[in-house]
Amino acid sequence: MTSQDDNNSADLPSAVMRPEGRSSLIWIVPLLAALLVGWIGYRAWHLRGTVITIHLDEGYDLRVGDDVRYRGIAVGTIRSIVLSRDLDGIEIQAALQPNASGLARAGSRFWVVRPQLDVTGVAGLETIVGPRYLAVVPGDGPPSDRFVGLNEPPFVESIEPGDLEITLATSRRGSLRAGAPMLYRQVQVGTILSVGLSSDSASVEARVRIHKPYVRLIRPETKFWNAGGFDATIGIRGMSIQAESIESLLAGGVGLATPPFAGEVVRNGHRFMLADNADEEWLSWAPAIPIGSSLLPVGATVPTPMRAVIGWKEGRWIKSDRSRQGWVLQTKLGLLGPADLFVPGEGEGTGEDAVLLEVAGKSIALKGDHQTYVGGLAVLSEQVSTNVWPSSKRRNATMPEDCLVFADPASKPLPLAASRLTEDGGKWRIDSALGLDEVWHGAPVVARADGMLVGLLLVEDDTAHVALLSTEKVAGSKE
Amino acid sequence: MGSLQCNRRTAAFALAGLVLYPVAISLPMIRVDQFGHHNDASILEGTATLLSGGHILVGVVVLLCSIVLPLGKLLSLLTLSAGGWLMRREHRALTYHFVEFTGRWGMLDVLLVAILVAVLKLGDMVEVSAGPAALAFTACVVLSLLASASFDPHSLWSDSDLVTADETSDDT
Repeated sequence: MTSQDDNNSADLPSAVMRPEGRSSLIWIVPLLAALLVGWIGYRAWHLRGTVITIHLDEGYDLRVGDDVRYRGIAVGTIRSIVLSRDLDGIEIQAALQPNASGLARAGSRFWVVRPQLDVTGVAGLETIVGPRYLAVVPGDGPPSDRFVGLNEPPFVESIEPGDLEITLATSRRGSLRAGAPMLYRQVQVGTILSVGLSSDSASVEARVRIHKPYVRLIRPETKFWNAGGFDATIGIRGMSIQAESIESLLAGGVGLATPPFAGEVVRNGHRFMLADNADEEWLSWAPAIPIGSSLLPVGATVPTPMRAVIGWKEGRWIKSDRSRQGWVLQTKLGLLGPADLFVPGEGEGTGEDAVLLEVAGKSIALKGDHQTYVGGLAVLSEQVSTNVWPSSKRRNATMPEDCLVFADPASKPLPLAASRLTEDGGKWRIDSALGLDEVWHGAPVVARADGMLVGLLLVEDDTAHVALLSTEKVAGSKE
Repeated sequence: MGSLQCNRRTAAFALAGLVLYPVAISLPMIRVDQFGHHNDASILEGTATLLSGGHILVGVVVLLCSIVLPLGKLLSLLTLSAGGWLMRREHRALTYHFVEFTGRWGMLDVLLVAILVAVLKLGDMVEVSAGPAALAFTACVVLSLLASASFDPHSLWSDSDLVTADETSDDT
């Protein structure tokens, strides 16, 4: 038996035994699979985000997979929608993205955005074709994961610190409704938050929020009247219809007027009576009350610069009209503005022709009698406006700070963050990324911290800087 | 000896497939965006929806092809490669026939997703994309393919023959 085997082994290749240990490398495959599972599982768990539960009375066709949105972008997804156990509403489970988990805090308000056609306007237009979504406004409480949603979108999306809340009392509701505007000279200065019977049912009470810039309009003597609806008078001369505005005609609203010398600014919770109609006298009141800005502290006023145009003729023989524009501010000393608004051209060829500065409907002949200060600012001792910026409201600044720039009184101020400003020898250079154009030339710059005037914005050759107020006069300028 | 090593490989592949299997069927396989509504569907959810929606035939086919058969194949391969001590020989033969049969049906799902993605790219209206489970499922299918390819059917009888040979040699 063994001898035969030996014979065969001569002409047959002999099997080589491989060591067995090598094949254990194959067990890396299950290990890799386990790692893959771990990775996929971690990603799924991580992307799950913060899961919150919201109780709503109505679903409004919200569906699983719809977005939770904040500031117009999706920050989460609806995971499940079920009827609540006692059938009195629905329970929505939503998963917020990890970076949006800060929205899940006590006081956060959720509501379903859906198309709403209302007398005051149209809302949620994008949801007519697109899906509904859940909107959120974050609160400021501790983290939480259970919420009760709102049935209606909130009228005031954000409650700003500095807003004033007052109560209006009246004998009957009239056209008062939540969300209706408060109108001062038909400009909205606040919103009605809620309307209901007072606790003793003797009157109707409305809670009203006055927006921060207009808080100074509300004085103890301020009169309020129901501005909804219209008055129709039919007489021999025909019919006359009076309404506050189309918006308040449809939506209701409250007009208000403040007499001159009406006392101090009221505190939160002040109670006013609401009249049914406005007296003729109330409508004639026109006190000068400086209003603020929502970006400035309460009590700070907003500068109202005036547009000024300097015009001159240039050229030796053929004279061409040249002009330059900018903003000037009326101060006690005179008109404060960029120095180049008071000096024509490059100083050549002005000759005997009059240089005119047109401001506030007046034309002033410039004779070079302005006062130039270090930094490119100048004061022309002219009084053209009664709206004088008080000298107590200006200060010298050195280090860059957060500022607001006011130009056109009807448009919004331009915020300048301190990080955009660099100190450069008595002026603050502005980051060129802001792209300020010449429209802003001469606009007053007010510190956000205290509402003080710190300088003017100067734009020259596409570069902008803040020229700081200074008391140092340039030598050689005439007194 | 060589078949033993092959079987170890088979066992490793089958085990890896089994590790991936729960993830593959429970996480979202495809993601459908339709008019801004998005919907994630895993194989388990999809099967449940089909069955509860009254599509019994399709539901059962999906249930068999994507849940039962892959799992059965992987488990069978693992037990077959584990050696003769788990099962009697007739059962092993039967199991091997089962593996051979299921091998042809295991890939249906990935194919299905591929076709769905290709067909439903209708622009902005409907968008279908593969979810995280697609990767796991593909890996699962590939692993079970590798496992059955590396399985050496000789081992079905060879190691029991070896035992009997040893016994006979002991006897003599």
